[in-house]
Amino acid sequence: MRVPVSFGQYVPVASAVHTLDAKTKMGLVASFTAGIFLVDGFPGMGVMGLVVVLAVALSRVPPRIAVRGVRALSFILTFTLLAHALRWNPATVALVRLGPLAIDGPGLAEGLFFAVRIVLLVVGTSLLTLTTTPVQLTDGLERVMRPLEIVRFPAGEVAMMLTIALRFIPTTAQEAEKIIIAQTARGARFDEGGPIRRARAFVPVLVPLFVNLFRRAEELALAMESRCYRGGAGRTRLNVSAMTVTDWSVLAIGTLVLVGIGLAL
Amino acid sequence: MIEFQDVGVVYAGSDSPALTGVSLSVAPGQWVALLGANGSGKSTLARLANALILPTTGAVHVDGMDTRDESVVWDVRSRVGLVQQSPENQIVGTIAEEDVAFGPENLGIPTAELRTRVDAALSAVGLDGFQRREPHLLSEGQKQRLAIAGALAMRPAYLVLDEPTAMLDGTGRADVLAIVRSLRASGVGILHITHHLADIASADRAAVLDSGAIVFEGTPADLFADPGRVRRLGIGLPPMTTLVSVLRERGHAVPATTVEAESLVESLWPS
Ligand SMILES: Nc1ncnc2c1ncn2[C@@H]1O[C@H](COP(=O)(O)OP(=O)(O)OP(=O)(O)O)[C@@H](O)[C@H]1O
Ligand SMILES: [Mg+2]
Repeated sequence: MRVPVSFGQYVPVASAVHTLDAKTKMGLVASFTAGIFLVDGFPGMGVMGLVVVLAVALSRVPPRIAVRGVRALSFILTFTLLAHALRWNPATVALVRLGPLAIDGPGLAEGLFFAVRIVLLVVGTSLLTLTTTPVQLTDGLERVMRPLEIVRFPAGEVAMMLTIALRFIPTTAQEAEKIIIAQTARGARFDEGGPIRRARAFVPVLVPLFVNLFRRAEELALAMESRCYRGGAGRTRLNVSAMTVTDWSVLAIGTLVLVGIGLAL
Repeated sequence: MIEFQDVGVVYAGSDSPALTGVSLSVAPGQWVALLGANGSGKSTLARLANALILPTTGAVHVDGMDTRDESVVWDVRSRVGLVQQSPENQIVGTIAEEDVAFGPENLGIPTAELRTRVDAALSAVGLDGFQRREPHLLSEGQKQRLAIAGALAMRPAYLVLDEPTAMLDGTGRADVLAIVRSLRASGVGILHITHHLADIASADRAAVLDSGAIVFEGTPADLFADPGRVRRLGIGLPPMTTLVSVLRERGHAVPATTVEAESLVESLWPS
């Protein structure tokens, strides 16, 4: 029984998209989202589709992995399609008819339009997490959130929380594995019985795991205080990922193109 | 100078004191070893040194600053680096260099200097080239040294090491002791808490805690000279001392205070 120590979705391949700064990619995702909601017609959606295909190709992320997020949405997609396509006793020419229920052309087109939008949105935005390591993502997030400090949003603290979570996920997974091995050695079975029995088998794993986590948290807090942590204010950073000229140009051109498509088509 | 003056500590919700009437001092460039059985109050003393806990009675001063004075707390903590018992639970960064940078980042050290400090601290503990390594991929000994590097990067005047060799094997322990020795040479005052009598042979002074009170203070050699006391206090004898007492029992003229291999050889085979 193994607990996977790797997590997140990052696909470690070398590509132009990977080398972009996390903040650039966040900006592009925002512009892309704005663009795709501004588009109102199949031509525009088609162009957006091309943009997504191009971005996936540039990122060198295997297409199979890039569209993985869509599968989880199959229910929402079906629902969206049906909600728009199904009509009650329509006056229009129905394509399919089942008693008073019918599917007509315009409804189907509308449903398809919204479904395609969701698919593109998911594939496009997931490229961010597929091409950016969690560490880069946290650092980028801290920088992007910093202006919110004006309204007293604790950007530094939130980023620190994310960092600590990232730091301790592998440690906790390793610890869970150790406990599972220890319990297995004492005769515990984790792979027998129905779902309820299997879930219950994990209780003796979770209890020591959580006890350890709380002890860890307490010691960590003391260690952070020992090293003079007093919140985000006044902290400097060793690694400040700076946006290069390329980053700024890609962000500027990308935003113009994406929002432009949205407004024009 | 770190000065513990007649310190007593009673934890909230506990009726027996964790420390009573403890007086001890650590000067710059001095290596003070603190020994004691489990629960004798060693970690409590360590946490007093950087104001993580405050004395119930008596006082703790760091370079003249009273740790109870709230306005100097951060000054005290930047002067006294504390490396706690389990390295795993004090590593904050997702990669080694980020963790070492954590302390100086909190002090507001400019980015350019952070880089030099981090690289210097990592190389001081023999972790050159580990900058981007993730902590969970380090061995216990490497984690321990990373935790020490994290304290060193703050350039503390004093370093409190709480059982830095507890989970290490022979070479790992020798590595840590070599770091302590070179820190002392560079003028850092060290309070070194340990279970292993063998670790303290090169220390300047040794103190032994028993049930929250100091029951011995003197040189390591004085401590080793009294194996009966050492055994009573529940701290293990170093192999060298065991060897010396066996040799003496067999009638060899070896001074009871011998702790170094070279001086033992010297007294057995005078050159
Ligand atoms: N946070 C706390 N609250 C209450 N009592 C505590 C607390 N921490 C320690 N104690 C008690 O204080 C006494 C001294 O503990 P301390 O951790 O200082 O011992 P130690 O010498 O470091 O032991 P060890 O060798 O196991 O690390 C013990 O009896 C312990 O149970
Ligand atoms: Mg302790």
